[in-house]
Amino acid sequence: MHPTTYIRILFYGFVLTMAVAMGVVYVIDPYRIFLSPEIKGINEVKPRAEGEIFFNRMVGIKSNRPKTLLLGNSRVQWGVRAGSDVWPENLRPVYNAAIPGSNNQTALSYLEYAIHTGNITTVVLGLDYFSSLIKESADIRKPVILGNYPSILAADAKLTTRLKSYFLKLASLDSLTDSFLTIIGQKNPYGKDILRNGDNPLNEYKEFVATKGHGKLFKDYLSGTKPLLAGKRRIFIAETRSSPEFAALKRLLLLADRSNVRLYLYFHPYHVTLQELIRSEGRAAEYEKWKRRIGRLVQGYKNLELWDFGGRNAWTTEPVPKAGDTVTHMKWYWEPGHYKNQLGEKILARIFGPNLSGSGAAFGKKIYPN
Amino acid sequence: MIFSSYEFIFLFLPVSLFGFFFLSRISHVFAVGWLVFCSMFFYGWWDIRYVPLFVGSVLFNYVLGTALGREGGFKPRQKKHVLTAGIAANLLLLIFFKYTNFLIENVDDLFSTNIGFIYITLPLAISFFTFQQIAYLVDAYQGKTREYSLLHYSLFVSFFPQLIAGPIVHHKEMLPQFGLGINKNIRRHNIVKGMTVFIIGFFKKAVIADGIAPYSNDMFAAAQSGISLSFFDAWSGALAYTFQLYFDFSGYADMAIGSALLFNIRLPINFNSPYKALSISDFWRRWHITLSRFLKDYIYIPLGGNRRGHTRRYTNMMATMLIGGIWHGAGWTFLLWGLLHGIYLAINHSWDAVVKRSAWLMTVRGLPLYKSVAWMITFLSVVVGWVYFRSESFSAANTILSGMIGLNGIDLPQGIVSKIPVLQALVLKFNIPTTSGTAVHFSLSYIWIGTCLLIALLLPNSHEVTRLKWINKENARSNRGFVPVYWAVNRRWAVTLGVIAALSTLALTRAGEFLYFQF
Repeated sequence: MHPTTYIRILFYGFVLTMAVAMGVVYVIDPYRIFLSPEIKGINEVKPRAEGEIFFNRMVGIKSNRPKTLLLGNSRVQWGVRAGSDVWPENLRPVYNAAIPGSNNQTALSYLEYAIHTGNITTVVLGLDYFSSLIKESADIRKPVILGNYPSILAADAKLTTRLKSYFLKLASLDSLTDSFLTIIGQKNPYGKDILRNGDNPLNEYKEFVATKGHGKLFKDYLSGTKPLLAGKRRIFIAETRSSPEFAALKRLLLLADRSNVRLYLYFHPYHVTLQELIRSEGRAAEYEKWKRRIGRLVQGYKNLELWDFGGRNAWTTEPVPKAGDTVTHMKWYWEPGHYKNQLGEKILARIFGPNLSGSGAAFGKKIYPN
Repeated sequence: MIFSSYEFIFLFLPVSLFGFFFLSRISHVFAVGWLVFCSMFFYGWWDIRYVPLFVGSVLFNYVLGTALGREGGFKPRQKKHVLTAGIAANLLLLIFFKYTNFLIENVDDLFSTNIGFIYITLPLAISFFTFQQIAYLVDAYQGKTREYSLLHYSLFVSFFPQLIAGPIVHHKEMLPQFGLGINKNIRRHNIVKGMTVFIIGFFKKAVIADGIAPYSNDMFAAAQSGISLSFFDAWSGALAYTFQLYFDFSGYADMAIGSALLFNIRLPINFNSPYKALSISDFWRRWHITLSRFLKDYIYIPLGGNRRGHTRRYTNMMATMLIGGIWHGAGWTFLLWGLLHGIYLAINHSWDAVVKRSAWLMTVRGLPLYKSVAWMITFLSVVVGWVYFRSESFSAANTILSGMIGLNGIDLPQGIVSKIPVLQALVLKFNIPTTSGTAVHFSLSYIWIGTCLLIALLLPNSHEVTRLKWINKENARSNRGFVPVYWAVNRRWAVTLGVIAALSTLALTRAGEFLYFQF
């Protein structure tokens, strides 16, 4: 064969493979970022979407045009449902933009984006003590936004920047692999998924509970969290008594206020075993200080409520099945740090439902306004 | 700019190639000058501040080398002083940029001082161009060099395919090629073969090495942060790195050889299926061949090699490997890696001596069982060495190694156990703990490792596949894979390489830098 013919065929092979690969990614849309048609049994379930959660959230906010946005980390993503029936009609549609492992700085970025692109009127933000623990070397001037898309999240992001981001997801071997895994994963009852409204049904936890039980999940979570509490991370940089997390929250409050967005902030209902770990690691005073500091930050804002669902009550003290017990299913918790959406419904009902008294008011306390 | 990037593949390489052959028609000097310019541009892409340093180093060594090589220039004694000064200047530059903070750190630790760190950015490829030029000076001193032009010498050091991470080329194999008139014209066969070798290397780097990288990075990062790794996790981290490094570095070497061939320049091969080695000395004849050649020719032999008795031979071997270790990076873990390989080589040579004295062992060594055991011992020794090579600290390396020998327990992800009845039974019988870790991550890591192992052991390597003709005898030892795959200029290969090139391009979105850039 003549070398020129060889090179020509090689080039055709290259172009054709690129075109087919990009076509497959576009049609399957494994991260739900191209908003391609969803076909049952082909690409309706998105088991790989979590891998591009930042991009997924960005597109989700734009396409769902929600009135209410859920922000926070995995506790919100797994515990509170945008699809809940509890949401008052005037707050719908709701989009769950919470991102596992994220912090207030990420929440601020997404709120900025949502205000710029949509018609947000309400935000529910879960406040987490653990994601507020920062390194001593943290720089208050440099926000740490997780993920790869801060540049296209910016309100003034150029069209070329946006197009490049989409192209890099389209012409990507990871996206192609994830497309095939998406097709394969359609019928797995325990497969991961991210729904159109941003909710995560957490199917994979259902499998673990069914095979090893809650006791094992509790044990793993507590032993995994202990090093963080025993480590050097604190809520403040000691020298300046400041933190990029508080700074981001402050900016978020100002932004919401300026944009007439009503904010509902709440402290998560950690299971009592996690509260006990905080205490036994000598962090109880710091935890309370963190709450008080936020309590002071919100003072003066009129379009805002702050709730506390922590403490000991009938829900947070739910008994944990013994190790190896795979029969008993907990009603409110997956493990100490992550509550089930049944408890999330309680949170929503408490915040958006009628004022309660007596035993009904035992779960959750409105801290601000008093 | 790295080889595995859009800007290199779709812009820099075609433009530099087109410019070279266009200017070749006008003037050979213009064409070589163009390549030098392109190489400087390539180098300056990372950090333009170090281009003057690089140019200074090239000029300094060229002037010195020319003076040393000129007959009747210096008296013998003067010549020796000039050579010593030249080597010292090169080494001082390398030590300043690469080892200053390491030295300060150790002085601080040893004498409880507080000198503190100096912010120095390591100039890219300094270890490579320093060694290359020291070899040139030594050869000039020994009268082995000819009088080369400054332009040709500059291209010898800066030629972009080999500039950043080797192969460490020798003036004897490069400079004569620059003067060949035949190299001025486009040679279609070289273009086709160069593209093929480049695409194979591209695939090795972008798809395989970068694909397996997360599995090693996760485990080494966990070990560094003090998390104890169980048996399977520790092994997956160590083995994933073993293959990541091989496919990354040999992929780079293939891309270097392939892109050089487009310009009608032949670079020496740098890898020859190292994981098929049956002994450590065999391994070092196959791994980073041009570095081994440099260490042998310019350190081991000048120290006396094996000419001054057993003790001296082992001492020389150890010293050479220690230098090889520290050359890779300023850290005790690199030094320990070098020491380990020095010990391995000493054991290897002692065992060889025992075998040669025994007729029975001489017979047995040809048997498949002996070879399998030899391969296993060699491979495991190399993997243990890589754990220190990759780890940021001794404690992280020890965490992984203790996991590998089972000191941190053995556990399996529940997701795997629940799907495989045999495992379920084993877990119950031996009371093996299970974790909530995802089965997908665990399974993928071992699928990657298994695939890489099969490729490294069963397939012929890229230069065997493409039948690169300039492999020297030393490297021509046959290690054809069990699956014979040989390239030819035909439709099947053109389509296959087109698909492979496309998959590699698709993998560019996650491509990281080459591991050897840091050295």
